[in-house]
Amino acid sequence: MVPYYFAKAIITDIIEYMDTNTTATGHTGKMKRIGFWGFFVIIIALIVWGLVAANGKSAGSSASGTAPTTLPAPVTASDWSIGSSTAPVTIVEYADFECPACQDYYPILKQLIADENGTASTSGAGANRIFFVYRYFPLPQHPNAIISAEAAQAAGAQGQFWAMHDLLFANYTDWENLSDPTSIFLGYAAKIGISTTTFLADLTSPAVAKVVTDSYQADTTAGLDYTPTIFINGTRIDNPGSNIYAGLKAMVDAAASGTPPTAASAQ
Amino acid sequence: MKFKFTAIPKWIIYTYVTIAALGLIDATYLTINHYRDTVPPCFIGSCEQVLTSSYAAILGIPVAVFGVAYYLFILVCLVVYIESNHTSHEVRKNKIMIAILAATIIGFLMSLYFFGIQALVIHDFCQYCLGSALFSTLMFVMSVGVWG
Repeated sequence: MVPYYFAKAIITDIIEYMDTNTTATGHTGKMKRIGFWGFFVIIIALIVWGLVAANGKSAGSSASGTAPTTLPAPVTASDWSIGSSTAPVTIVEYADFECPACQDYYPILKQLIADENGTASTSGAGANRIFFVYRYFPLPQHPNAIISAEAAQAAGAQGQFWAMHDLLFANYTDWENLSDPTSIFLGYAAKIGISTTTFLADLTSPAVAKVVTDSYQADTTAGLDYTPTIFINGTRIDNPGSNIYAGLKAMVDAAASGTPPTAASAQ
Repeated sequence: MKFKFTAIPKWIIYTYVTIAALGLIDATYLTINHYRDTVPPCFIGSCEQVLTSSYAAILGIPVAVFGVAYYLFILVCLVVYIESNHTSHEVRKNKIMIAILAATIIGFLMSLYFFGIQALVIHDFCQYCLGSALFSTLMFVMSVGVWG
């Protein structure tokens, strides 16, 4: 009510001013004042435009229209996966351990996979419906994106990719702002119960680094430009909406029943 | 209720306009970034953590949009104030200053709330949000100050 009252009063005053302003003498004076404020508005608009244009060049995790609508590379044996490759629904997630949206998605996807892949009695619709694949897309604006992906890859070398994946996502606040998170990652390796000596050697090995940089190269070549980018049965999905779990569940149900998910709209 | 404010020097009003304009630029920039799904470059803190948090929108409306509305309102008030410099405009100028005072109290409280969220909940700051907090605090202090 109060803002409405003031807005109305101000608008009335502007109209009154335009009609009967006695400030500036005569028509020319009034035009001068309008010109002055018009110039002011143009300056503000130009500054905003300049800022946005400058930002456009360095935009990082932006969802532009270039991302492919279909899965750029087929799932292979070298991908990190959960579930059976013969499951009716294949979800491929391109993510970055340091991306806030991916961190938000992590518990939701984990819950969804647990619910859908549980026993027939818990899920109702049947067990093992999801084949989940994680691919690295370490974004350049995240200083620890590459090393966290390497930590997952290094743990994977000892068969514990998913345990490291879970720890990285669950505890991201512990490492994402560190200049060198190696000691934290070593702690995770110890917690998982893998050899920390081997883990450290792998973490710093060129072979592990190459897997991550090759992934990033392939992702950008394919035109991916935001995280998490999720493909369900080969089709890039749209934003699942404010209730991410419900949105994803509906897409998985549709995909399981043979309906292809709605293709992501070009933005 | 009758408020009486002291005659406000021109330079204070124009400083006020400048601060409100900076706030408007800040908020508009964040709004555009929000709808383009981009995160602006950040030199202090982590803008991404803050701007993509669940606190960055109220009822689905990005906080930056409220910021744009707030700074626009203040600016329009100030323009009308500056243009009302005839003796017959005293009542109107008084009304405008009350409106600005009311708006900046709300703006200041909102800034305080969001500063608290950044400091205590997200544990990260975003330079554009801190800038807006600074602008709204300055505006609040100035709008109280004119009632000397």
